[in-house]
Amino acid sequence: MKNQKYLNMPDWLSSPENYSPVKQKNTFLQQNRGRLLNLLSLFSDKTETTSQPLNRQNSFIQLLTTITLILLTSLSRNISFIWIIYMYQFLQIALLPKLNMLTILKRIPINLVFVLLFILPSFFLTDAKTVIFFVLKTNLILIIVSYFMNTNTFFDIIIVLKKCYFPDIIIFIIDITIKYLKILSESLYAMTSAMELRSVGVNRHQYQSLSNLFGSLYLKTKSTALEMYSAMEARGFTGNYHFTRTKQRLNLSDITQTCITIFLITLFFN
Amino acid sequence: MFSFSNIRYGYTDKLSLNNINLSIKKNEFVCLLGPNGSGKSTLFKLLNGLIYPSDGQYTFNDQQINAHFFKNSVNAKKFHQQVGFVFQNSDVQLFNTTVYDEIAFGPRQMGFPEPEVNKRVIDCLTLLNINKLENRVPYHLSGGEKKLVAIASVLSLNPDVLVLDEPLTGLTAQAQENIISIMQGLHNAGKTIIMSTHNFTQIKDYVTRFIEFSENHTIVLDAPTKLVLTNSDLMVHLASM
Ligand SMILES: Nc1ncnc2c1ncn2[C@@H]1O[C@H](COP(=O)(O)OP(=O)(O)OP(=O)(O)O)[C@@H](O)[C@H]1O
Ligand SMILES: [Mg+2]
Repeated sequence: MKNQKYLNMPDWLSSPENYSPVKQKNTFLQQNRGRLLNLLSLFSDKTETTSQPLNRQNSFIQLLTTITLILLTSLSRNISFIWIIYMYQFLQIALLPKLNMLTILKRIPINLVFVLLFILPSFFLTDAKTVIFFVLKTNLILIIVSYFMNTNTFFDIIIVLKKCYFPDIIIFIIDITIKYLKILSESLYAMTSAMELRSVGVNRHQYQSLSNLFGSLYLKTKSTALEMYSAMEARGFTGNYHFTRTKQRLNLSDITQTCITIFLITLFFN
Repeated sequence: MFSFSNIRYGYTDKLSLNNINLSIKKNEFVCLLGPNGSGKSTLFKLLNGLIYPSDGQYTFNDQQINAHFFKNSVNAKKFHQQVGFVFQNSDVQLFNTTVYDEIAFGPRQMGFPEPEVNKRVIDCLTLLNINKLENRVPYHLSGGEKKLVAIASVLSLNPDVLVLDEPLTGLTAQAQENIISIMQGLHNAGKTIIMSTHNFTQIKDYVTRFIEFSENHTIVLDAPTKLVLTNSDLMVHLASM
């Protein structure tokens, strides 16, 4: 080999390491890295994970539909009508790709528990029938919302907000916050991984290490924010927020959905 | 030592590694090449047990590496001591309050007495020519300095296998040469080195084997350096990447 420079390799580094770790229960980090991953996936755009264009509906129509459905549900006093919306919503969920379908379905029991917790006290005030009706309604609204969140990326939602003439600055703040949270959580994940990779034995100062980690994360967030702002200023950011819109044309499923919504509205008033 | 068979991995439903078959023996000095986004870093994460394959098998010293393997803390710790990993982004790899503590983190965990820890830290600082950074805060270092500290903090564990994701990027020519001679020294000492780079010409005289990834996240070339150096078309192709 050419260019063999003389290099002072310390002895310990040029001989194999005979190290055997002691048995010990899993550390805080090892126990919680999985949980962190789950948390991380909250920030990732759901629709980006499925490349199927099948369900790509017009976000504007979807938002209108969602709002209409929520209104109808909350105003309705007719149990059969609520069931119809339930059925319609589940039909829509059933048409989603498996991954999205599962995330929505998994949420339902959790939502139900929360709704029950909040409503439980009123069991003692009114009759059970009213309470159950109310639980059904609240649960349905949550399903409708989570359907919307699962079929639209944050980016879609921002475009809809823009179409509804939301002020630029608010849209900008929402957009940046979401991206920022994602970057932040990814750094946190990467740092805990790095720490775990080098946690090869007993850490006598486990909690100090963790607090150091969060300390550097905090410093990082500060400088990331400042750097991002400078970068935007350097590129001439003035406060107007433009972005490329992909033209969303109405397709068959949008039209079907609109028809169904109109049908539900007429049903409501009958 | 490492063996991958029919490995597939996707962060989402898009694959980032497609049908990877690969085995790496002890004391090889392997270099991964390939375009941006071809899957080099992903393979490294897999190799270090940060992610698990969606499909296929990964074994290390005939031991299957999966979530179950890492459940056992002795396994995990032994594995992480044996296989050291320098991230592509050293920003996220430093989490201590001083450079000294950063490098001492590993040896302290391994239970060495403080004088031995101190020796290791000083040796690593000297090896990488960063003695003057000893008491600095890692967070405030420059990009290149962070990279050197990250490398030092992994070296202090004295791993058998050193995995370095683009260790030369962002360093001065002198620092790059130094890193190359350290890798060479470790290789001569019997260690296994696996690295990635975008600069074929710079390392072609040191590594023993080249692996090239394609844009389709598959391996398109896997050849010993001897063979590569005699094929001038291949040389031109790799140098132009
Ligand atoms: N955290 C992630 N989430 C989703 N996709 C990812 C993630 N990390 C990488 N990818 C995707 O996986 C593919 C492979 O990425 P990888 O980082 O392994 O490439 P690479 O070969 O290391 O590239 P480079 O030379 O730029 O470092 C890319 O298409 C990338 O978009
Ligand atoms: Mg990479």
